Amino acid sequence: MNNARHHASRFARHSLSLAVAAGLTFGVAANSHAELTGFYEGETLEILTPWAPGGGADTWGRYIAGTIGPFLGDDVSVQVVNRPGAGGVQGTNEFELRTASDGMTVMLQSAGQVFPFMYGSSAVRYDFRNYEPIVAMAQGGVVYANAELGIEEPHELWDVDQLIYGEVSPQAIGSMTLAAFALLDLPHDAIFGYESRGPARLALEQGETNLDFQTTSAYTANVEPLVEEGIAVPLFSLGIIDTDGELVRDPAFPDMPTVAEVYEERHGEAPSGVAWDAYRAVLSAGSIKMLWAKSDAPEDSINDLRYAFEQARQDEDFIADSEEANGPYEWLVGDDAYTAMSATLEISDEALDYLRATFKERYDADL
Amino acid sequence: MSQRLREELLFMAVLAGLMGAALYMATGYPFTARLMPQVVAIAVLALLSVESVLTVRRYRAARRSGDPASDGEHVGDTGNEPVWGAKFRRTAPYLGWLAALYLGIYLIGLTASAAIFTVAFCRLVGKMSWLAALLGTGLLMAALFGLSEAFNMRWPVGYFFDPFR
Amino acid sequence: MLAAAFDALALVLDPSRLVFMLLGISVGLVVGILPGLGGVVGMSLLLPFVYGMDPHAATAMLIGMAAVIATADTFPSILIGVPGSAGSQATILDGYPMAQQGKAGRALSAAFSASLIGGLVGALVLFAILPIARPLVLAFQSPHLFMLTVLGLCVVGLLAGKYPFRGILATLIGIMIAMLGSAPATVTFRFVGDSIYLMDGIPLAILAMGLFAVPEIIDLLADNRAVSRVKEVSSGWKDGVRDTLQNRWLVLRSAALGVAVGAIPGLGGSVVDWLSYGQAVQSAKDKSGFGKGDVRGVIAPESSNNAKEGGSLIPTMLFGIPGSGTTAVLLGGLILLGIQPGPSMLTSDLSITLTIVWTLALANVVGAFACFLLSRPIARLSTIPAAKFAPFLLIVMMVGAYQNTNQWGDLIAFIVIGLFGWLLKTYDWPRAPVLIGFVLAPSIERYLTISASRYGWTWLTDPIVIVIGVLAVAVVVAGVRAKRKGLGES
Repeated sequence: MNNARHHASRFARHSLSLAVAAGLTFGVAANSHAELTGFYEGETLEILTPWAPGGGADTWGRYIAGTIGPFLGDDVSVQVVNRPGAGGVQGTNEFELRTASDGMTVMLQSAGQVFPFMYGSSAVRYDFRNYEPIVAMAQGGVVYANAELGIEEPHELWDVDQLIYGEVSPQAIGSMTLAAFALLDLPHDAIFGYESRGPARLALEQGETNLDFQTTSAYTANVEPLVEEGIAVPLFSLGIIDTDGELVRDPAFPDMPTVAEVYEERHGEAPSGVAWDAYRAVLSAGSIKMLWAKSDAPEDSINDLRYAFEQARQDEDFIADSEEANGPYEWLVGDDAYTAMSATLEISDEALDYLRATFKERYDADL
Repeated sequence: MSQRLREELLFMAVLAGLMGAALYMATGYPFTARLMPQVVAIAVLALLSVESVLTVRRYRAARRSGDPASDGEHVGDTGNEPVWGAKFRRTAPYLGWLAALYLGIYLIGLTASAAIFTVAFCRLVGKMSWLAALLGTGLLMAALFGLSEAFNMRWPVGYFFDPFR
Repeated sequence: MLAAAFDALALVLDPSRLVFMLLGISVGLVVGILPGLGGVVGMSLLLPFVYGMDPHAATAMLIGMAAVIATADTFPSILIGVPGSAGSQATILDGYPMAQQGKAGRALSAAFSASLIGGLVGALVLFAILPIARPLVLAFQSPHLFMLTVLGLCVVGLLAGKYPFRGILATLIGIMIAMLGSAPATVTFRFVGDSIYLMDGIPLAILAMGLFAVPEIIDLLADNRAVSRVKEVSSGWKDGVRDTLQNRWLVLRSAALGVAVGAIPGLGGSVVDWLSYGQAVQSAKDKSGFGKGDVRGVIAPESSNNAKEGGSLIPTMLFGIPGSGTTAVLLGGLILLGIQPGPSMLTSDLSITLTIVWTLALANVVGAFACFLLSRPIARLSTIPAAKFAPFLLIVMMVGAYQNTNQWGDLIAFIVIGLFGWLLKTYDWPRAPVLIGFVLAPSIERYLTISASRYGWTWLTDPIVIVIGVLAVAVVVAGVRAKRKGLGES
């Protein structure tokens, strides 16, 4: 219905979009967001969110829906559309197979669809590498222990008799921690079956487990008070993947060592090799939320989306709001977003085999 | 053996078959994933065999005591009537309506087929006046439209087209 | 805290906020009355409006919606034997027979007055125990939660109907239906083949509607009659309220049970009404009327399912752990408003917490009175021949079913389960146990897995586990006894 108008506007701005198109022709997109074409003026952009409302990724999507409109042009409304099913696979398949490439829909990616994609689940019909990256945000988390263990530093973990870690399933977001344990070669018992990370945290408070991981927002709201009370002890952060694809300290916890630093302290050298690749793949799969557009969507739409986020990340008010809602994490636009995600999207067969073998051996799980 | 007893046993046999299939499918799952369904399926199979014996005995006892409800057809009494026969003849038209509604939704989407369905059903089965049938349908359509507009609710879209979209 | 409470009341009663609360209540009433739609759908409908709203107004809107669902969902449960949402499943057992006897008005009025009291108790308890609830919630470890679900399962023994074996079988079949989809603790999808729809399992709302609504509609149409077997319907307004007042201890006991069960994270609100119903049967001297239209079977679940909302907010606000699907979406809404639930709800965000408490109380009052007003015209539905309302009801239910995942699978599951339910009904198999087994199966499996892998066998010697175990055995024994007595009479 709206296609005719889009076509018209596209022809009118043809010369303008040529420059953009040039940047898009090969491989992954370049960051060629020159200026706003007004593609979305008076229109509604839908953010296809393949989960039920209420979770972390949905909330991130709704944050974007509530804030990015003004940057996209006048009178632009942005809407979250929930298409739950199969942990995110269903809605993403729908994006691949049924969503029109008219630029009016972008898809929200989070751990739920990425793990099945990375492990090559037969239900997956999509390939993120065929989409255009718009914007991403990597949000980390912290591994902490029950204070009753009597430890204060990460390196003391190896002196503890029995570490018990509570987890949802071997393919849930907490598998970032499991991959970290594999990299560190940390002996532990994993108890699977918790409904989500919240009950796993409760289990640590009850003493049912003594080692746990929480994402930044949950950690700040619910674990930091425990740390103050002396019930919990923070150990290390998972780290954040920056625009060069490197693991750096989590900006929300600048004083906390990362997994890589813990490794270095133990082994005297920086982590490398297949376990390191595997960890970074699982980390970016679990910690990055991202918006993707269809690659055959109008160039103007992709240009405008990237341009809007580029403007937003330079806007002081937007960043101040974002820090409050999402933590002090960067908005990565276009290529930067893809780079951050590349450890997952371009995971080597060796790293995948390593993950499969490790999870099979340690947890009897078939990934 | 009365028709009703035959049907009840068939129903239990189908359940048992499903459980058997579940048992077979579960063999390939990891231990934690197959434990519960296998235990439950075996329990169902065991209890089904007990229940089928009990059912047969109940029917025999009822026949001996000359309870007429154990065989034959009794309109209006859902107690012991078999499905195959009068009950099916009473029910089939409505199952037909349901099937038609589903076909309609598949072909032309929910809104259009719902409108046609309610008007037709009210007129032909409900014996309602044109006014009442159209009024009711109109209200229903208005409610659907309101929900989709205000809250972005969605309905199934047809295979061919959905005139109200 | 009292001074803060009155400040919060002033906040809530500010007209600009009151409007949003009333909006939330109206959405809650509609969502509650329409079968198949429940708290999750209601929350999802309101969530898009939340971002950027005044936090007090927005929480009042969301809580107002959630609070009245448990009141309004009684209409379909009593009038057509279809659970209006997950919370009013047990109401069917006695509410629907009452409607068939022409006592729909009385059942509704008893239900609404019980809901009102239950809801107020829930709000009051929430206010009273919030400061001290933390250790209470932390007291329940996985083995205890496992035993509580087993206790819930044993309630089946009290409702199993004429043939006890069929009751047990139906429960187990419910458990098997719940096995469809992803297994906890692993990455296995069970029994679903390539069906992406089934990977998440069958939605509870669809199972409930399919089992109860489709068979009822088909049979009503086939027999060409109305729900009520008697022509005249007494309004019974006063009788219903009197019933509630006469059973005031039952109302309060059920409310307390509702708050307690709602407050335990991981048990889920959908068990509350069954536990409460079981408790009502067990404590009654004369058990013969249950299942045939005993008003106590309406009062108990209705009181506790409203009280549950107060309880389920305790883990949500103190720990950021949703106690039900509805509170999961509420949690998302709060985060959008910039409120991270956690210990800060008792300190820096106290005014939000108190807003929630007041809204819960006010919404229950407003909701109950609105339902009273609606009940007279709507109760007449039970005397209209099915052929005149079935098509509309069917469409509404299909629309409701489709809102669960927006896939064709919803409609297919609805009709397949509907036909299965029709066979169960026709061949005299109890259907309520299927629902109970389905609701409890995930928790049973989850907590058994965790208990076994964490504690081995030692958890069986835990004192709380033993106490709940004894209670469960007592429930079964009481059930068997009641059944014997019942059999002796007939």
